Amino acid sequence: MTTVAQLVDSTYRRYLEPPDYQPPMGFLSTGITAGDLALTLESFALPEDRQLLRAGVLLEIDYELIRVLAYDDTNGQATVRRGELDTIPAEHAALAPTKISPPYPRVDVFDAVATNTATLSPSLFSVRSVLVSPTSAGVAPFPDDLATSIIKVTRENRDQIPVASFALVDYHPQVGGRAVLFPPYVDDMLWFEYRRRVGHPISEAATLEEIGLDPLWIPAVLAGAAGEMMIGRDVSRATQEWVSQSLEAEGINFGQRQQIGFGLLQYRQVKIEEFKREQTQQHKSITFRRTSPWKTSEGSIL
Amino acid sequence: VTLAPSHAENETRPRGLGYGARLGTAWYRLAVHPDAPLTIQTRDQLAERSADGTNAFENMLKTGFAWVRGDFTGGEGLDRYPRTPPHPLDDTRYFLSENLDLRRPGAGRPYSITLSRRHEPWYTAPSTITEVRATVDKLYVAYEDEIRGFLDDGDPSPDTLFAFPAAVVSFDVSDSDEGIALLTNGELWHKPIGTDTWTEITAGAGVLDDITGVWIVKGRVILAQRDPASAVAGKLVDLALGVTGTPAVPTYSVTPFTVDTFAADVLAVEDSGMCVLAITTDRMIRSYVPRSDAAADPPVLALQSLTPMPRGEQPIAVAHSSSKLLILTAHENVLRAYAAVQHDELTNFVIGDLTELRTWESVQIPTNPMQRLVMATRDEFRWLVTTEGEGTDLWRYDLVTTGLHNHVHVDDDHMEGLVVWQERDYTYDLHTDQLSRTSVFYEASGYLITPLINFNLNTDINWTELSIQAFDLIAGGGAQVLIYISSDDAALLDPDHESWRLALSLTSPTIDAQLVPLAGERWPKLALKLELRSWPDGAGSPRVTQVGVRGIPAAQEVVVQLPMSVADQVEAPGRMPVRIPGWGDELFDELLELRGHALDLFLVEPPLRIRGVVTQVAQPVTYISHRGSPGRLCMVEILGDVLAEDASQLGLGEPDLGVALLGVSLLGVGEV
Repeated sequence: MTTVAQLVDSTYRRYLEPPDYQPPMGFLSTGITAGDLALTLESFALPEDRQLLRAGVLLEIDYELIRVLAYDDTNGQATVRRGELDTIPAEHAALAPTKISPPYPRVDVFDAVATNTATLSPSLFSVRSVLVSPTSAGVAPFPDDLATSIIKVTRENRDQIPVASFALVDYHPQVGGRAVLFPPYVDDMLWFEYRRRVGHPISEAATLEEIGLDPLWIPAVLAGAAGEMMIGRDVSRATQEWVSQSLEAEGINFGQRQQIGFGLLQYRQVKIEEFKREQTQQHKSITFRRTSPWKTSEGSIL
Repeated sequence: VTLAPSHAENETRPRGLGYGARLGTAWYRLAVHPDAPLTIQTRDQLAERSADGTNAFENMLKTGFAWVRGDFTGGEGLDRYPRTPPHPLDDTRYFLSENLDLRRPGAGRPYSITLSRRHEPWYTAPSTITEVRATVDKLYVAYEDEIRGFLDDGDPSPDTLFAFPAAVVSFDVSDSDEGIALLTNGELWHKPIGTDTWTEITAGAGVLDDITGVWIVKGRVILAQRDPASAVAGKLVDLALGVTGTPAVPTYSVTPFTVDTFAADVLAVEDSGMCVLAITTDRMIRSYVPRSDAAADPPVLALQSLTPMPRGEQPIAVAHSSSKLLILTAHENVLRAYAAVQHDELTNFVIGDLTELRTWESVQIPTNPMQRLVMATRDEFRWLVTTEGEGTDLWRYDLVTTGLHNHVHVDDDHMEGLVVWQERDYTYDLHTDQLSRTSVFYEASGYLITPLINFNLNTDINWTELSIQAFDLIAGGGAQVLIYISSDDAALLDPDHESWRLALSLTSPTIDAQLVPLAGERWPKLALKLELRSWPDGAGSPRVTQVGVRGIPAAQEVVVQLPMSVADQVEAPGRMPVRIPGWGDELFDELLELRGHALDLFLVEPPLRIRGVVTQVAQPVTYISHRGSPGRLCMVEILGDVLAEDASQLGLGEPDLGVALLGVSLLGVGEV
């Protein structure tokens, strides 16, 4: 089951910190608790990385940003302040990778991934079916907060006879939340086929299923997240060339003088359009209906 | 030099960390780009040394050094080579030779090396030879109670023969053929100029007693006498006074003039041009000059000065030519030869400028100093040196070049007498009846050992080629010109040293000049032994006009120009560039401290190890790399020798990148 954390990792791996473009880092000599204010690093990737350790520098271990207050060259110990920039002090294991002055903090990359996931909609949506049991005549709770419109309603016990009139409302007093309204004579279980927007993940643990992200759309999310992170940054020429070549391989040429960040965002848009076309092709038999029961032209409540 | 604590020192995989060069103990990154390439140039050390080119025989070529000689008239006597400052003779000197004729050629003829003509028996006297003397026209041989004269230097046929009443102890003849002879019975016999008639000199009672030696010098008959009353008192007597008869046919009589008395015996009397010299057993050489008190008086010999020899050395012979003297001294079994100058009246006729030419140890000191031990010709002194058990060598001292040569070796342990007559050397053994002389045939073989050649370099030299110019070889004569090589100092004075190995051998008369490549000969110095072998019948000798060797310094002196990164930005493979504020300045300060230091430079690509000195650390310059990032570099220049080009020795792994990839624009021979 793919999680958002994996999307964040992919963003690093594919764009921000590919394996041949690693940030300066060392490793924690010993594990630290959330309250420890001193740490020691070892096994620096380059001998010069040690030079980066000085007062004011931020370290990143897991999701936490830690500020170096002082560094002792003789014993390699750094005095630190924990939980910098709204991160949460946490326990970190020995040999945890410690990035020094990370150009792309993970919390920000997660935010970028989350944003780029959520903003796939309304361009992109998914179609789902759900079996709902009315709580009272003409009202049934609707279990999916990401649903945006009902496509079709059928009665389960009557050979899938469509229900002609229905409406999705965000609140109904009888349900205490989202509800579907339909004619009162319909008293059996109903199948609802509906469109679902992509949700905004609030943690890296969220699965793609939970946020309604079709795995096919991941490239657009990654490119968008990476693009956002890179905009305005001094990205090395080598990385730019590499990304450009990767994009050109997919038929996308965003121009030599365009910033890599914008190029990636353009790439994201291209992918979204592509997915949209595929989606249209896939769901072309769907008749889109307004979901408001009060202003419908296709049917009436009664 | 104090390194920053985070400096990579013992890095075994510098390539993986992006390091390009190790200077001393620390690794550094390079900032190679088209405008600042890494250059490795061989320094043209040969050209720089041309100021040393006073020696026409050691040429510095673009491709190496050449040592060529054809003139060895400087003789042996090299105590070391090359000498600083160079001795004028060094260019024509060698270490050792035997049986080679290295004399100056006649005018218009090239310098050449041939075998010496050997000595062969010429005349066998009826009994043991006592003494041999020569005038311009005649050669006199004394044996027992006879003196035999020869007029022709062809087959020995006695011209005159005179028998005395007693055996001849000593005799002398002047160039004008006046003779004097001392017999064992104390009688003194005289032969006037132009006659073959010897008559006894008569004198008053006791006047001619105790004569120990006779000489004819400057037309005077000089006698050495020992005082009968004292075993150690001697005197020099001039018979010229009291002469009666005609000058051409004088009759010596009763009133000899006592020139000098001293507490010593006289060993030899010799003409030195300005003076009459007497060698006495008190280590002195006494100088006498003919002087007269009044114009009417005939001049008498007057003592002018005494020249002592170095302590412990007894002069035993002196010869004169053109105011130059050759003095032999003896001390126990050590023989020394000195060159000296007969000074004139300004310095009271002393003998000065005594210069030791050579010392021979384990020498048989001549038992009869009355012999002519040293012969002077117009431009040479010649003498014999007999080494116990090793035979006798005829040595030559060239008055023009002042070169000392061992001219020919004779297998005779008792050869003591030497006379030059009709341009030939006549030698005789006082123990035998044999008189030998220079033959028309050549010695069977001879050799010459050059100095150890090193071109003034203190590095290994790849010896690449021998060269030789040889003539007069005979077909079917086998190897007649051979060159052996050795790099061992001990071989210089030992022609049979085990380190000599054959490198060239000429047999054919049709090949005059030869270049023979040498392979695998890498030494800091090399000596050559040139050996000549005569024709099988001894009638001819190969002639060598030039012998040489060529070498290329093995140590590649190179100048490396390293564009060292002194930027704050640190770049490495697999790494995003990182900027460390102040890091570049720290690196530059480190490099500045290296200036003037001797260290080892390890280059990752191309894999080279260079030992040298940091000669320059230029000021940093900022540049824009082809990746678009601004960088900062400073050029560091190192002058040194390439120690190894094998990557495995550096622990850098396999070289996998072309040199040009890292911006090495020039790798090869070039002038700096």
